[in-house]
This record gives sequence, C-alpha cells and structure tokens, in this order.
Amino acid sequence: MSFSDGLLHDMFRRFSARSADPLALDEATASRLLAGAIDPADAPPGYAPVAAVLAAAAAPRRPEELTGAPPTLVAAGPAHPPAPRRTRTLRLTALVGVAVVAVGGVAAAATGSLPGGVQSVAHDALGAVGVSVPAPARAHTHRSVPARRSARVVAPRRPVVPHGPSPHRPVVPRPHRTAPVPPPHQPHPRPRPAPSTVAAALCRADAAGTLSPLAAGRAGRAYRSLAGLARGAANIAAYCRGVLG
Amino acid sequence: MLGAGFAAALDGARGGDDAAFASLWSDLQPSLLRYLGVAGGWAAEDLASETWLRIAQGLDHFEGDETGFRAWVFTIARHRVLDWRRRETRARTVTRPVEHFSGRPAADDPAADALEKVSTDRALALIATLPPDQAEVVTLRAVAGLDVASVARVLGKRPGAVRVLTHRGLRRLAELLGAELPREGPAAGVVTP
Repeated sequence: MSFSDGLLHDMFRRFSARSADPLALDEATASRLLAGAIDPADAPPGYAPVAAVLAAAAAPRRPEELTGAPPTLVAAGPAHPPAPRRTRTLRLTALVGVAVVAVGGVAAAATGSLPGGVQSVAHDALGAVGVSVPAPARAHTHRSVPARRSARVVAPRRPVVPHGPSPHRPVVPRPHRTAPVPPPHQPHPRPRPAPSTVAAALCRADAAGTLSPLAAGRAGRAYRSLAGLARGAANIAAYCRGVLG
Repeated sequence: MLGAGFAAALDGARGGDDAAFASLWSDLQPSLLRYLGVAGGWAAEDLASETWLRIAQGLDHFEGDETGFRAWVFTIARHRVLDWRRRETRARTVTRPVEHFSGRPAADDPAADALEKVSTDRALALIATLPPDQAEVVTLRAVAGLDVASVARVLGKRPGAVRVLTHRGLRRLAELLGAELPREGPAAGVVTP
C-alpha cells in the first residue's frame, strides 16, 4: 500500500467512522490485528487495548503449558503398514479377549493383574457388561502380550512422575520443565496463585451470587472463566478463599 | 509451527515414534490448551488429553500439510468441546435457582483493568467472555494462528460467516476495553436477561 493509498484509506475510514461505526475495521486490518502484526501504538482508534490483549493471548508458550508427559503411542511389536482403524479396533478387541482367557479370565482382570494396556481396555470393555475391573496404573505400561502394533495411546491427563525405571515404556523426551511437579495421585494440582484483580472480581461476583453455570450470556461465561481459574467448579470456594484472603 | 520438520515428525509419529509424536505435541499443546480453555473452560486439560487420543488414532488417515494438520487438530478439539458441552448440559443440575441471579449487577468487570498489565491468562479470560462463537473465532485466529479458510473448516461455517464473527469479536473486545464503559454499576452488569 503506497503512502497516498494509505492516506486515502485512512481518510475513508475516518469518514465512514464518523458517519457510521467508530469501531469499523476493514478485513486487512482485522487480519493483521489477529496475526499480532499491529503494535498497540499503531492500532486503529479504539483498538490499541485489543492489540495488547491479542498479543498477550498469543504470547510464546509458557512452561506450565508443557508440564506432564507427552502422550505416547504404545507400539507392541514391530511396526507394520498401518491398517484401517476398524480393522485395528477389531484386532485390539480380539487381543483383549485372548489375553483375558490366557491370563486367567475375568478374575485376573478383576484383581488388576493384567498388563497395563490390556487392563485398560478390559476396564472399559468389561465395565460395560457390569464386571468391575480396576483401571490400570497410569505410569505403568507393561507389555507382556506379544502382538502387533496396537492403537492404544497413553495420554496422561495430569503431570505424571514415573514410579521407577520401566524398561517397557518407550523413552520419550520430556519437555523442559521448570514448574514444580505435584506428587502423583494428587487429585487436583494446587490452584495457581493468581493475584489478578480479574480473579478477585470474579470471586466477589460469585460470592454475591451473580454468577451461575446455568446462566446464558456473560454470567455463564464469567462463571466458566472462574471455574477455569480455579481448575474446576468444585475448587471455586477454596480458590476464592485464597484470592480474597 | 514445525515448518520443514513437520513432514518428518508426522511420518515418525505414524510409524509409532514417540519422540516424533512428542514434537507434534509440544508444538501444538500450548495453543490447544489456550483454545480449549476459552471454549471448554476448566475441562481444558482433560479435553486436550481426549484430543490427543483422537489425533493418535487418526494419524494414519490424515492427509495434508502442516496448515491442514493444525486445522484437523483443532477440528478434533472442537468436537471434543461440543461433546463435553452436551455432557455438561445433561449432567448439570440446578444448584441455585436461576431467578436468583437475574438483574443483579456485576461486582466488577474483568475488562476494566486489562490494559494495565495484560497476562496471557487474563487476555484469554477476557476473550472467553465474548459470545462463544466469537470467542472461538478470535482464539482460533489469534492464538492458533489459523487463517479464515482453516477456521471455516474447523467450525463448519462459511468463510464469510467467519469474517463476520471475527469483526464482531474484535469490535466487542474494543467495546469491553473502551473507556466509555463504566467500571461498576448496573450498566456494566454481567447478567444478561
């Protein structure tokens, strides 16, 4: 865009702003704003804080966003050309059936003695027909069933500290970790200290009874924001005690 | 973005290479968590786990470049969000009568001091106060770095609709952050009737 084009564009925007919408944006400016290509100081009138907020939202990754182990593809046996998913699922199901019989039937599964991967599937499959099967310990992924590559994936939800050397677990490079890792089996990570006034405002609104998970519009969204800050709706009370002191 | 290393990472992950899968994860997980935080609130981490499970299951079927991969990943994530919202709606019971909340003014406005020092969490919390479709579009474009066509694919909308939502979202943010909004009082009420 040449200087005169820019000037024309600017004049047009100012004119149309005065006549209609003071916050109107053209497509190119909106795209540049969203891409973080506009410094708040150079943003169109009214959009400087928006540029700052978008830049903050798209800031480089933070260590706490990469805590916990990455998900691992549990490959049992040599890799082979990928099969269609349906085939693999059937194979996996068949494998579980064989494994349950081989290791001692449902009793073995019920005592949690199946290999981790099989135990997990058994937990799901047998749970559906009313047989209680303990879920496998997450950090252990022992493999004792010779099989082809399965479709199972271990995707830990929380930061997991390995219990010890596990020769069967594929070595996965852990991301750089600077945040302290909570001990395993802790149901919820400690609430992140958030001394922000936003948190305090949300807590006061909640205490005043203005927030509701059921409300449409801003009340509902503010509630979800607070639940997000507290890492769960159940933790809101404890979180707000910490925030409000 | 992994750029030149993407194809190798994708091939490796398809072959069962955990290190390759981990490189895809570490590249995408931060923006995935931020998107899920805006769209799925406190369930973001669990939704991210579910998303990665689906990604791993579907890797063999994915075809495309890195731009397409990112759009595919966020499409999966959005489906997890929609599924979660349905579950939440079913599971949620009324803990407080709805009329208890109507007409009450907000104690404060999250936007009020967003300008002073904007942290990523506060910026995302502010974006999350937008109407859900606007919040999603703004997050997918600004945080996930998706273009209009990719966002349209993720949301199953037409590109024109995405542009409109984008403009409305940006405009709403400007209004939220504008000085003309009173900081407290009935006019800044959080509760919409």
